Amino acid sequence: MKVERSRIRKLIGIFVIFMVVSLLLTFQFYLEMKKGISLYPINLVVFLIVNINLIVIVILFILIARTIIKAYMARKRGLVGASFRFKVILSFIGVSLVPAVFLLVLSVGFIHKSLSNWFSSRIHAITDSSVELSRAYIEEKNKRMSLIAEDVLKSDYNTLNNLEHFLNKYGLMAIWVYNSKGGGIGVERKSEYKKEVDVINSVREAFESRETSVFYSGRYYFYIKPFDGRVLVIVDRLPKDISKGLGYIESIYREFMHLNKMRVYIEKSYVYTFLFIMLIVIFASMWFGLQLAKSVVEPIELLILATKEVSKGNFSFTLEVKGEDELATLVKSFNEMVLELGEKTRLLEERRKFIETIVESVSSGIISLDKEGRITIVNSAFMELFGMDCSVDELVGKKYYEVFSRDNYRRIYEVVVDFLRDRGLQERRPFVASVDMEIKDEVRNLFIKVNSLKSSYGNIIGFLIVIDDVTELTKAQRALVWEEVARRLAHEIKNPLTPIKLSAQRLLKKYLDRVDDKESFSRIVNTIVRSVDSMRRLIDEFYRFARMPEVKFGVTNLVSIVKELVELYSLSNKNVEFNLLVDSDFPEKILADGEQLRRALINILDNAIHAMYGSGRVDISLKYDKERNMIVISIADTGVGIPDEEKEKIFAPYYSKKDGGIGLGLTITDRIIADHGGYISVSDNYPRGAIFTIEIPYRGV
Amino acid sequence: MKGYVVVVDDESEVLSTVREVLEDEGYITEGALTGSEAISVIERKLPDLVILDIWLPDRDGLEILERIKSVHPDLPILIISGHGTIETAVKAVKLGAFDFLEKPLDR
Repeated sequence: MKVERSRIRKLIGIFVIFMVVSLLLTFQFYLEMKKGISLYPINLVVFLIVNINLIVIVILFILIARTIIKAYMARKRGLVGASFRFKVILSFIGVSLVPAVFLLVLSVGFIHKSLSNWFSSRIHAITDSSVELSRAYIEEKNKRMSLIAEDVLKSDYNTLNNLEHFLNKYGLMAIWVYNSKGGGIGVERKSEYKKEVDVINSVREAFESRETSVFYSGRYYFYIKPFDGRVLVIVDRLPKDISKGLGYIESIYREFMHLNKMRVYIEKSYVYTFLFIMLIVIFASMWFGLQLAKSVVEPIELLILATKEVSKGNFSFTLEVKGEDELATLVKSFNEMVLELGEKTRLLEERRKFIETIVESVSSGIISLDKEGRITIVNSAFMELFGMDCSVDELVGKKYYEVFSRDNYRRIYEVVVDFLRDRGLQERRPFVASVDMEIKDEVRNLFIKVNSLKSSYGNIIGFLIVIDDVTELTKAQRALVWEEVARRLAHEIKNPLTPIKLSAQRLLKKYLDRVDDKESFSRIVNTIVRSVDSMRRLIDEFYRFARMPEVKFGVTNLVSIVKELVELYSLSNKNVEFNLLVDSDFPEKILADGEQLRRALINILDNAIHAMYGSGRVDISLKYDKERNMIVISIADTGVGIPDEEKEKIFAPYYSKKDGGIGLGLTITDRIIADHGGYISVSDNYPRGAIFTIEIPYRGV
Repeated sequence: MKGYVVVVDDESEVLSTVREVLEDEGYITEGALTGSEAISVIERKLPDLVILDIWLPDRDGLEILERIKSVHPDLPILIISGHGTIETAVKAVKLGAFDFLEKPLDR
């Protein structure tokens, strides 16, 4: 549509110019006519050349001006390559303009001088005087002829003899006397005069005008004189050279006069032609410059477009290679560069994905900062570790202190700040710290490692902080150490028990007969033996706790285990009422370590019975919380209950209210439940007693 | 003479008490505090019974047991241990131990 419209506009423009030019031309034509210049064909040609030149010049000038203005406007608008194009056009025009103008001025001057010479006064004088000369000659001839004619007419002109006489007397070629009827008499010098010219017409004219007339044709001179109703014609011979010269001079003179009139036009036509040629040269060089600029700018425009595309990430963008010149080479190398860039970007992207995957898949919390302390990478393990509920993207780009300065993360903040402030920028070695931090009301043991990230030139570009929650690991390590300690302790304590016990028994055997108070002697010795046995049991319990085996999950029927326990405890505790309530949707089979769960429950039941001093009620319920996918076991007793201040302590080791207990029962229970991924809690029963609630995640079979 | 018994235990107290109890009963005993000492004592005079503690400072008791058994397959060896586990007991019996007693020992 747009193209159409501009085309139509162009056509209208051309038409208007054409009309205006035609009108002007016609008007000029009219003016020239009025001035009285006859429009001979030669004049017309000159006239047309002048005007056509003028038109073409105007059109060329408009075209050149238009191109320059267009290029200038484009440059002003900052279009791609416009500046270059404008410069090229200007320089091409400039380069062609100087010699063209020089030549124009020179040639116009030359033409003007030539024409001036041509039409100079000397030439004028020469032509004028030669014309005068010829005219004087003719005048002389006329005078002579009129004398001869008077002479002839004075005599008897009706007789041939008489005419013959005059013919010979004056050396004439012919004498004729015509009457009004066209007839007449005459004599001719037959040997010399060749009748080449018909004089009848001239004679007839003379009859009518009654005036003497003269003309010459070829080598003959004709004198025609009317008299008394007749016409006398005298033919004389002209000298050979004069007859030629006369005609020549006359025609040259006429031409000269004509040319003189047209001189301005001729000069104009030359000037216009030169101007036209000059403009053609300028136009051509401008056009050439345009083409050159185009051949340079077009690929550059494409290159710029392509660069924009590439910067947007479109690496499949390649340019068509045209020709073999430097620009083609540039385009070719650009294509190669884009290809390589695409490949590199792809590799980089792959690598980034790879790293991202690694960072995401490790269990350590990872966060990296740039030199300004902005977070560049953070993984979900990190977020999870600190219980952050925002998304990873929310953190990226923020300053680390904005995130860590909150109270919750103050310790981390301190560690990081310490590192960054004190040694971060100089330190080459990674910085390691073990920090105990309370996260979500739980003390976690964190292992923090801060590494500086260095560029390939060795300067620091950021920091990588890796945080591991080693709470469980520490626990496990502690457990291992603990087990070893327990082992040694058991061994070291148990070892001396042997000599104590054996010695006591030996005492009894060897000296019972010899002592007086046999009863008290044996009681004392037996106390020693019993105490050794009790000590042994104690050590065994302690040791069992220390080397508690890991949970082994297997298909377990929890309901039957609990039922069995209830039966067992009912038998041995006649004064305790046991109630078991099992939800109808309680899963029959679960994945758990049945043996250990049994042990955990035994410890709770033992405690419950102990707290009730052997009489009361125990309610056991088994529930399945579908929503949370948890198995809930609750054991409620009617014992003495647990005061609030002690509720937290009962699961800690060595807390005991039982005589002879070392307080590991509930600790073992807690650990077994924890190993199952669950929790144990205690609350008050109403009106008295305690409720132990065990919750473990349901694992189906 | 009821018999000749070699007692091996790294605890001298345990060693002497056990030996005294056995001697009370009329056995002739010899003691060894380490595994290598036990081997040389046994080599000097073949006993009727060896009472071997499984936890020795220089060598694992089970290793000593294996070595004695390889030379004297018919010699009865009684294992005593302060931290007996079923696995060690089974292992000891498999290696040819006569029995497995847990400390503290009883009459």
